[in-house]
Amino acid sequence: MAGRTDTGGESGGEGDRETASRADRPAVRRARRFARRFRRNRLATVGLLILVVFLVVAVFPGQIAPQPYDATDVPDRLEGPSLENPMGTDRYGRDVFSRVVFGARVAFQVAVLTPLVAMVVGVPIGLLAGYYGGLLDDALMRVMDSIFAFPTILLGLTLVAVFGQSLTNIVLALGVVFIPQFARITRGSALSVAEENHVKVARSLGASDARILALHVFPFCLSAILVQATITAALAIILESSLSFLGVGVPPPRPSWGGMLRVGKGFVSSGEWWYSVFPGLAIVFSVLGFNLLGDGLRSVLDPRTDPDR
Amino acid sequence: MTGREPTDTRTHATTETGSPRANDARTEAVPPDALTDGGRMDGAGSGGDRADEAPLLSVEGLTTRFYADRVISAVDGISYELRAGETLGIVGESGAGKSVSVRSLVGLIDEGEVTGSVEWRGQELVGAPTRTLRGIRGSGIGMVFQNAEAAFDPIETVGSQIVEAVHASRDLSNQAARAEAIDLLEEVGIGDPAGRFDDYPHEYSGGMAQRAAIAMALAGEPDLLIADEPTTGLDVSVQAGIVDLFRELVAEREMSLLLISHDLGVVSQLCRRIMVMYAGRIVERGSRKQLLGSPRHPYTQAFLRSVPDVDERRDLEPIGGSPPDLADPPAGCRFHPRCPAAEAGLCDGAAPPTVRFADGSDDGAAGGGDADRHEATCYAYAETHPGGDDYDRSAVASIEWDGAVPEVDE
Repeated sequence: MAGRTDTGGESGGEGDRETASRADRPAVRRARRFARRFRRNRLATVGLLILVVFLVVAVFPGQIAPQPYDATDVPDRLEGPSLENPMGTDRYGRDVFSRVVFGARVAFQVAVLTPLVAMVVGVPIGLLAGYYGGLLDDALMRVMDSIFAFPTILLGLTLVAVFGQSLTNIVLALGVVFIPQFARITRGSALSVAEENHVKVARSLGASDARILALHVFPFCLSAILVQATITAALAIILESSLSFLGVGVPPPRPSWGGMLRVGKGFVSSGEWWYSVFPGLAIVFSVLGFNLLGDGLRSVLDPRTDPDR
Repeated sequence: MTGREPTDTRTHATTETGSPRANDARTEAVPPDALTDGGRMDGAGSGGDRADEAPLLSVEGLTTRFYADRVISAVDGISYELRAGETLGIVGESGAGKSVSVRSLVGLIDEGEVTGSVEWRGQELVGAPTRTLRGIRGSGIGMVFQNAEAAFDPIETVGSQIVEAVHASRDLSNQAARAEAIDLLEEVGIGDPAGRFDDYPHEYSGGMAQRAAIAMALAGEPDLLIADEPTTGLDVSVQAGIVDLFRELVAEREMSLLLISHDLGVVSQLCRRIMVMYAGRIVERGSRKQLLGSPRHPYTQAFLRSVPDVDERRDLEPIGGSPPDLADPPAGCRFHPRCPAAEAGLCDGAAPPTVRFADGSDDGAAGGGDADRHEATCYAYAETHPGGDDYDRSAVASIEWDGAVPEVDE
């Protein structure tokens, strides 16, 4: 069976596969199906690989970076890329590569925590609004719209300015910025599934609203939420970089890609391109990774694009 | 307008069944002297015999309105009773309000307004809190709907959803609920129930999905099973299997069955009593033998003529015209614009009276009562009428049934 699925037989194998997998637990079958479809989606796989690299770097920066991020070497400042400093050095002689590596940690924290914060608030709001509809829906969604109406950067900037400049506050501020998106996307899914027959049937058989929300509505929304989370992760990286670029990001000396870009941009015209290009590339690739993964998940999780059927 | 018209039908339902509510002073709605031909009898003749046995479900003037840009009365003042172990069918065209009428019973109408009274074991359900209704859904009244595959969440296994239905109304451990779910699957005739437990709904065939949906409806051990077009969309051999299953379940579980279908064949095979619904109202009710053997209401007759019969070659007669717009229903009898026997100035005036016929107790009615009652709401059988005595009844009086009596095996 494994051989068959690996070759990705588009036709014929369906029946065998069903019978062969009958003995498995449903969760195992579902996971296997997901893995099969995911592998077939090249871009998603590329995105995942990028993110795995990103994750490893973010978790073990100390092992990967040749120098500490704050080790200065003033005589060697503003050196171009070399064997010793593969991405050159900055204006204090710090190794740009090491700083990019340590910057990954900040970026990754922001990328993971921001969607989480937004989800924890936005998803319940969306579930309630979509499932119950009516006045509750109107009220909740108008609040969401008013948050949505602010330009994201401006809102993030304001929140950080008010609450102070720290990683926690940045994550919280960005989380707030993205709440409406999760609320909206969850509401859309909840709205459509609430009209489904099986929800009405569950209700006709005595299931409580809480039960229906937990067992039917939320699982249905999950794939859309997941896709939104990956896209939000990418946006969070960009936003955090933007905040840092504007000088209200993660406070120095912790290296943040946006902060490096901010300083490095002043040296582009004088020829020290590596100062800003490498942090910029780090941003590009991490964002690309999340976006590819998000797009991939979108098509893998959407039954309408099922290549098996 | 809707507040006035259904009075006739309603009062009779109550007076005849000896319901404690509203059984005085309204008896006159059907003229007691409305009997001329041998088929009719006085309305006060029988019916007092079951007053001791409380009905399981008692519906009284049930009305469901939807407020869209216009007010739509999907169900307009229907009344009936259902006793433990009874089988009752509701037939009618699409849009007659059959489904809405049963969804209204347990508060499953979201955006409409339900008025009237629905008593379940003496407890009023119209306007009852969701908590009360939830307790009755599933464990008191189970429901099966058309298109069974859609009854299941596509991303969950069939087994887990039946377990969930068991949990919703019974306090069992996970293991016991799982065992119960497998038993239920077996009871509804699914081979290898333990093996199919972990299958997803799309892995079930249409007939199997309907069986599984029935299993899910049985999970709460309901006293009444409401089946809304349970065989529609299934092919005929599968239909027969589902009909047999219902028959077994009703017999073994001593459950009441309220079956809704536009398919008279299915209803007549399963239900001892049948009500014919047209445009939100019940136009005729009686035992299956009465209804199929001597249908009285012109609509019932037209409905029967439009159903194909395997044994007898005859031309099908479609019912001319189309069902009325429920936002603006015709005055008087709602069927009159399509009725071959309609009398201008009579049928389009006041609501027609409900007349009772005496071709009753011929169907082995256990306990008698509602099963004996054959009623049609039509001027054709009325002796007196609001229009005075000088109206020409020749057309309406010419209604007679020449159709075959379908064979019904008990």
